[in-house]
Amino acid sequence: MSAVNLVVLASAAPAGAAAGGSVDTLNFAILGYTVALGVMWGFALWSLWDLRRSRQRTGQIEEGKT
Amino acid sequence: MDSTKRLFGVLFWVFTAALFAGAVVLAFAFTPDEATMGAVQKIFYVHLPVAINSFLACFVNFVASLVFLWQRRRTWDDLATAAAQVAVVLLTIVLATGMIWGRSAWGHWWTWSPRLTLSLVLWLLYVVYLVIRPSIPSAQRRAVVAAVYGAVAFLDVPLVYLSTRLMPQDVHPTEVVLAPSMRLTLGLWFLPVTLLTVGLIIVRRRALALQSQTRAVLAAAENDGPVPATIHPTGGVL
Repeated sequence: MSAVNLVVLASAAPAGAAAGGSVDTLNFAILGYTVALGVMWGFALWSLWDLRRSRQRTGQIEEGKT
Repeated sequence: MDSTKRLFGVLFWVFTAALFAGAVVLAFAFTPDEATMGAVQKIFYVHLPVAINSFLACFVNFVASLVFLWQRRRTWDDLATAAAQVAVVLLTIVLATGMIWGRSAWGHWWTWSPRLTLSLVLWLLYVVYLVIRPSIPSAQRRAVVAAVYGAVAFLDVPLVYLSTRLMPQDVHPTEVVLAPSMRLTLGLWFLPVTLLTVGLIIVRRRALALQSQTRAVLAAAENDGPVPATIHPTGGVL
Protein backbone atom coordinates (compact mmCIF):
# COMPACT_ATOMS: atom_id res chain seq x y z
CA MET A 1 0.00 0.00 0.00
CA SER A 2 1.43 3.32 -0.96
CA ALA A 3 1.86 6.11 1.54
CA VAL A 4 -0.66 8.23 -0.35
CA ASN A 5 -3.44 5.83 0.58
CA LEU A 6 -2.63 6.21 4.26
CA VAL A 7 -3.07 9.95 4.35
CA VAL A 8 -6.33 11.86 4.10
CA LEU A 9 -6.08 15.33 2.64
CA ALA A 10 -8.83 17.49 4.07
CA SER A 11 -9.03 20.63 2.02
CA ALA A 12 -11.50 23.46 2.21
CA ALA A 13 -14.23 23.64 -0.43
CA PRO A 14 -14.46 26.87 -2.43
CA ALA A 15 -16.82 29.40 -0.91
CA GLY A 16 -20.41 28.72 -1.95
CA ALA A 17 -19.63 25.26 -3.33
CA ALA A 18 -22.18 22.52 -2.57
CA ALA A 19 -19.74 19.83 -1.45
CA GLY A 20 -20.91 16.28 -0.89
CA GLY A 21 -24.67 16.99 -0.84
CA SER A 22 -24.46 19.96 1.52
CA VAL A 23 -27.88 19.87 3.25
CA ASP A 24 -27.65 16.16 4.00
CA THR A 25 -24.08 16.32 5.32
CA LEU A 26 -24.95 19.40 7.40
CA ASN A 27 -27.81 17.50 9.01
CA PHE A 28 -25.44 14.66 9.92
CA ALA A 29 -22.94 17.19 11.32
CA ILE A 30 -25.66 18.81 13.46
CA LEU A 31 -26.79 15.37 14.64
CA GLY A 32 -23.20 14.48 15.60
CA TYR A 33 -22.68 17.68 17.59
CA THR A 34 -26.08 17.34 19.28
CA VAL A 35 -25.27 13.80 20.42
CA ALA A 36 -21.72 14.70 21.54
CA LEU A 37 -22.60 17.88 23.42
CA GLY A 38 -25.81 16.40 24.81
CA VAL A 39 -24.08 13.34 26.28
CA MET A 40 -21.08 15.35 27.57
CA TRP A 41 -23.08 18.10 29.24
CA GLY A 42 -25.84 15.76 30.36
CA PHE A 43 -23.24 13.74 32.23
CA ALA A 44 -21.61 16.93 33.56
CA LEU A 45 -24.91 18.23 34.97
CA TRP A 46 -25.74 14.84 36.49
CA SER A 47 -22.24 14.70 38.04
CA LEU A 48 -22.63 18.16 39.60
CA TRP A 49 -26.08 17.22 40.92
CA ASP A 50 -24.69 13.96 42.34
CA LEU A 51 -21.83 15.83 44.06
CA ARG A 52 -24.29 18.30 45.58
CA ARG A 53 -26.49 15.45 46.81
CA SER A 54 -23.46 13.63 48.29
CA ARG A 55 -22.38 16.81 50.11
CA GLN A 56 -25.87 17.26 51.55
CA ARG A 57 -25.92 13.64 52.71
CA THR A 58 -22.51 14.08 54.30
CA GLY A 59 -23.70 17.22 56.07
CA GLN A 60 -26.78 15.43 57.40
CA ILE A 61 -24.70 12.56 58.81
CA GLU A 62 -22.23 14.94 60.40
CA GLU A 63 -25.12 16.66 62.14
CA GLY A 64 -26.43 13.29 63.35
CA LYS A 65 -29.65 13.45 61.32
CA THR A 66 -29.40 9.87 60.05
CA MET B 1 -12.12 29.02 51.89
CA ASP B 2 -15.11 26.79 51.11
CA SER B 3 -17.00 29.61 49.39
CA THR B 4 -13.86 30.49 47.38
CA LYS B 5 -13.68 26.87 46.21
CA ARG B 6 -17.35 26.92 45.26
CA LEU B 7 -16.90 30.18 43.34
CA PHE B 8 -13.89 28.73 41.53
CA GLY B 9 -15.98 25.67 40.65
CA VAL B 10 -18.83 27.76 39.25
CA LEU B 11 -16.42 29.93 37.26
CA PHE B 12 -14.69 26.82 35.90
CA TRP B 13 -17.94 25.33 34.57
CA VAL B 14 -19.20 28.65 33.15
CA PHE B 15 -15.83 29.22 31.44
CA THR B 16 -15.83 25.68 30.00
CA ALA B 17 -19.41 26.05 28.73
CA ALA B 18 -18.51 29.39 27.12
CA LEU B 19 -15.50 27.78 25.42
CA PHE B 20 -17.74 25.02 24.05
CA ALA B 21 -20.19 27.59 22.69
CA GLY B 22 -17.33 29.49 21.05
CA ALA B 23 -15.88 26.26 19.62
CA VAL B 24 -19.22 25.28 18.04
CA VAL B 25 -19.58 28.73 16.48
CA LEU B 26 -15.99 28.50 15.21
CA ALA B 27 -16.60 25.07 13.66
CA PHE B 28 -19.87 25.96 11.91
CA ALA B 29 -19.57 29.65 11.10
CA PHE B 30 -15.88 30.28 10.50
CA THR B 31 -14.41 26.97 9.30
CA PRO B 32 -15.01 26.02 5.66
CA ASP B 33 -16.67 22.76 4.63
CA GLU B 34 -14.34 20.00 3.51
CA ALA B 35 -14.15 19.70 -0.30
CA THR B 36 -15.13 16.01 -0.60
CA MET B 37 -17.19 15.13 2.48
CA GLY B 38 -18.90 18.47 3.00
CA ALA B 39 -20.19 19.70 6.37
CA VAL B 40 -20.18 16.25 8.01
CA GLN B 41 -16.38 16.47 8.25
CA LYS B 42 -16.96 19.05 11.02
CA ILE B 43 -17.71 16.11 13.32
CA PHE B 44 -13.95 15.51 13.23
CA TYR B 45 -13.37 18.61 15.44
CA VAL B 46 -15.29 17.04 18.31
CA HIS B 47 -14.60 13.36 17.48
CA LEU B 48 -10.79 13.48 17.67
CA PRO B 49 -10.42 15.57 20.89
CA VAL B 50 -13.00 13.39 22.64
CA ALA B 51 -11.17 10.24 21.45
CA ILE B 52 -7.80 11.52 22.73
CA ASN B 53 -9.39 12.56 26.05
CA SER B 54 -11.02 9.15 26.41
CA PHE B 55 -7.51 7.68 26.18
CA LEU B 56 -6.44 10.22 28.84
CA ALA B 57 -9.25 9.04 31.14
CA CYS B 58 -8.22 5.39 30.54
CA PHE B 59 -4.62 6.36 31.38
CA VAL B 60 -5.73 8.02 34.63
CA ASN B 61 -7.62 4.83 35.50
CA PHE B 62 -4.50 2.78 34.70
CA VAL B 63 -2.15 4.91 36.82
CA ALA B 64 -4.63 5.18 39.72
CA SER B 65 -5.13 1.38 39.63
CA LEU B 66 -1.38 0.73 39.80
CA VAL B 67 -0.88 3.26 42.61
CA PHE B 68 -3.81 1.71 44.49
CA LEU B 69 -2.24 -1.75 44.24
CA TRP B 70 0.96 -0.24 45.65
CA GLN B 71 -0.46 1.98 48.42
CA ARG B 72 -3.93 0.45 49.07
CA ARG B 73 -5.46 3.86 49.74
CA ARG B 74 -9.14 4.38 48.95
CA THR B 75 -8.58 7.72 47.26
CA TRP B 76 -6.81 5.97 44.35
CA ASP B 77 -9.69 3.54 43.96
CA ASP B 78 -12.12 6.48 43.86
CA LEU B 79 -9.97 8.22 41.25
CA ALA B 80 -9.75 5.06 39.12
CA THR B 81 -13.54 4.61 39.25
CA ALA B 82 -14.15 8.27 38.38
CA ALA B 83 -11.79 8.03 35.41
CA ALA B 84 -13.49 4.82 34.20
CA GLN B 85 -16.92 6.50 34.34
CA VAL B 86 -15.65 9.46 32.33
CA ALA B 87 -13.89 7.10 29.89
CA VAL B 88 -17.16 5.23 29.21
CA VAL B 89 -19.02 8.49 28.55
CA LEU B 90 -16.31 9.78 26.20
CA LEU B 91 -15.94 6.45 24.38
CA THR B 92 -19.72 6.37 23.90
CA ILE B 93 -19.48 9.79 22.22
CA VAL B 94 -16.53 8.64 20.09
CA LEU B 95 -18.46 5.59 18.86
CA ALA B 96 -21.69 7.55 18.29
CA THR B 97 -20.09 10.46 16.41
CA GLY B 98 -17.98 8.01 14.39
CA MET B 99 -21.09 6.09 13.37
CA ILE B 100 -22.93 9.27 12.35
CA TRP B 101 -19.91 10.42 10.34
CA GLY B 102 -19.52 6.96 8.77
CA ARG B 103 -23.18 6.83 7.74
CA SER B 104 -22.77 10.08 5.82
CA ALA B 105 -19.24 9.58 4.46
CA TRP B 106 -19.14 5.80 3.81
CA GLY B 107 -22.87 5.07 3.52
CA HIS B 108 -23.05 2.69 6.49
CA TRP B 109 -23.21 3.08 10.26
CA TRP B 110 -20.65 0.45 11.17
CA THR B 111 -17.90 -1.65 9.67
CA TRP B 112 -15.84 -4.29 11.46
CA SER B 113 -12.54 -2.60 10.73
CA PRO B 114 -9.70 -3.13 13.24
CA ARG B 115 -9.91 0.34 14.82
CA LEU B 116 -13.70 0.33 15.15
CA THR B 117 -13.70 -3.20 16.58
CA LEU B 118 -10.92 -2.42 19.06
CA SER B 119 -12.70 0.82 20.05
CA LEU B 120 -15.88 -1.14 20.73
CA VAL B 121 -13.86 -3.65 22.78
CA LEU B 122 -12.33 -0.75 24.75
CA TRP B 123 -15.80 0.65 25.48
CA LEU B 124 -17.01 -2.80 26.58
CA LEU B 125 -13.94 -3.30 28.82
CA TYR B 126 -14.70 -0.15 30.80
CA VAL B 127 -18.45 -0.79 30.87
CA VAL B 128 -17.68 -4.21 32.39
CA TYR B 129 -15.30 -2.49 34.85
CA LEU B 130 -18.21 -0.38 36.12
CA VAL B 131 -20.70 -3.26 36.04
CA ILE B 132 -18.61 -5.74 38.04
CA ARG B 133 -17.75 -3.28 40.85
CA PRO B 134 -21.15 -3.30 42.59
CA SER B 135 -21.31 -7.10 42.34
CA ILE B 136 -18.41 -7.48 44.82
CA PRO B 137 -19.67 -6.81 48.36
CA SER B 138 -16.32 -6.37 50.13
CA ALA B 139 -14.90 -2.87 49.56
CA GLN B 140 -11.32 -4.12 49.83
CA ARG B 141 -11.83 -7.02 47.45
CA ARG B 142 -13.78 -4.82 45.03
CA ALA B 143 -10.99 -2.25 44.90
CA VAL B 144 -8.27 -4.87 44.35
CA VAL B 145 -10.19 -6.73 41.62
CA ALA B 146 -11.05 -3.43 39.89
CA ALA B 147 -7.44 -2.22 40.08
CA VAL B 148 -6.06 -5.41 38.50
CA TYR B 149 -8.80 -5.33 35.86
CA GLY B 150 -8.18 -1.61 35.14
CA ALA B 151 -4.46 -2.14 34.72
CA VAL B 152 -5.06 -4.96 32.21
CA ALA B 153 -7.91 -3.18 30.37
CA PHE B 154 -5.62 -0.27 29.52
CA LEU B 155 -3.60 -2.56 27.23
CA ASP B 156 -6.31 -2.08 24.60
CA VAL B 157 -5.62 1.69 24.36
CA PRO B 158 -2.26 1.42 22.51
CA LEU B 159 -3.84 -1.24 20.28
CA VAL B 160 -6.64 1.19 19.30
CA TYR B 161 -4.13 3.98 18.72
CA LEU B 162 -1.71 1.88 16.67
CA SER B 163 -4.35 -0.20 14.84
CA THR B 164 -4.24 1.90 11.66
CA ARG B 165 -0.46 1.53 11.47
CA LEU B 166 -0.35 -2.15 12.43
CA MET B 167 -3.31 -3.01 10.18
CA PRO B 168 -3.21 -0.56 7.22
CA GLN B 169 -6.32 -2.06 5.61
CA ASP B 170 -8.32 -0.09 8.21
CA VAL B 171 -10.80 2.49 6.93
CA HIS B 172 -9.17 5.11 9.16
CA PRO B 173 -6.16 6.98 7.76
CA THR B 174 -2.82 6.89 9.58
CA GLU B 175 -2.44 10.61 9.10
CA VAL B 176 -4.78 13.49 8.35
CA VAL B 177 -3.46 16.60 6.64
CA LEU B 178 -5.77 19.55 7.31
CA ALA B 179 -6.07 22.97 5.72
CA PRO B 180 -4.67 25.67 8.09
CA SER B 181 -8.10 27.01 9.18
CA MET B 182 -9.28 23.46 9.92
CA ARG B 183 -6.11 22.75 11.89
CA LEU B 184 -6.71 25.85 14.02
CA THR B 185 -10.31 24.83 14.75
CA LEU B 186 -9.24 21.31 15.67
CA GLY B 187 -6.51 22.64 17.98
CA LEU B 188 -8.92 25.01 19.73
CA TRP B 189 -11.46 22.19 20.26
CA PHE B 190 -8.94 20.34 22.42
CA LEU B 191 -9.11 23.05 25.11
CA PRO B 192 -12.80 22.82 26.16
CA VAL B 193 -12.91 19.03 25.77
CA THR B 194 -9.78 18.57 27.92
CA LEU B 195 -11.09 21.02 30.55
CA LEU B 196 -14.40 19.14 30.66
CA THR B 197 -12.63 15.78 30.99
CA VAL B 198 -10.43 16.96 33.86
CA GLY B 199 -13.39 18.70 35.55
CA LEU B 200 -15.56 15.60 35.26
CA ILE B 201 -12.89 13.32 36.73
CA ILE B 202 -12.41 15.70 39.69
CA VAL B 203 -16.16 16.05 40.34
CA ARG B 204 -16.82 12.30 40.06
CA ARG B 205 -13.86 11.50 42.36
CA ARG B 206 -15.13 13.93 45.01
CA ALA B 207 -18.65 12.50 44.84
CA LEU B 208 -17.40 8.89 45.00
CA ALA B 209 -15.10 9.72 47.93
CA LEU B 210 -17.98 11.28 49.88
CA GLN B 211 -20.27 8.35 49.07
CA SER B 212 -17.79 5.64 50.06
CA GLN B 213 -16.92 7.46 53.28
CA THR B 214 -20.62 7.89 54.09
CA ARG B 215 -21.19 4.18 53.50
CA ALA B 216 -18.26 3.35 55.82
CA VAL B 217 -19.69 5.55 58.59
CA LEU B 218 -23.17 4.06 58.25
CA ALA B 219 -21.79 0.50 58.20
CA ALA B 220 -19.70 1.22 61.32
CA ALA B 221 -22.74 2.71 63.07
CA GLU B 222 -24.87 -0.35 62.19
CA ASN B 223 -22.24 -2.73 63.56
CA ASP B 224 -21.61 -0.60 66.68
CA GLY B 225 -18.02 -0.33 65.54
CA PRO B 226 -15.72 2.67 65.79
CA VAL B 227 -17.14 5.55 63.76
CA PRO B 228 -14.55 7.64 61.91
CA ALA B 229 -14.06 11.06 63.49
CA THR B 230 -14.87 12.82 60.25
CA ILE B 231 -16.64 11.74 57.11
CA HIS B 232 -14.76 14.03 54.82
CA PRO B 233 -12.77 12.07 52.24
CA THR B 234 -9.34 11.50 53.69
CA GLY B 235 -8.21 8.69 51.45
CA GLY B 236 -8.32 6.08 54.20
CA VAL B 237 -6.37 2.85 53.92
CA LEU B 238 -8.43 -0.11 52.78
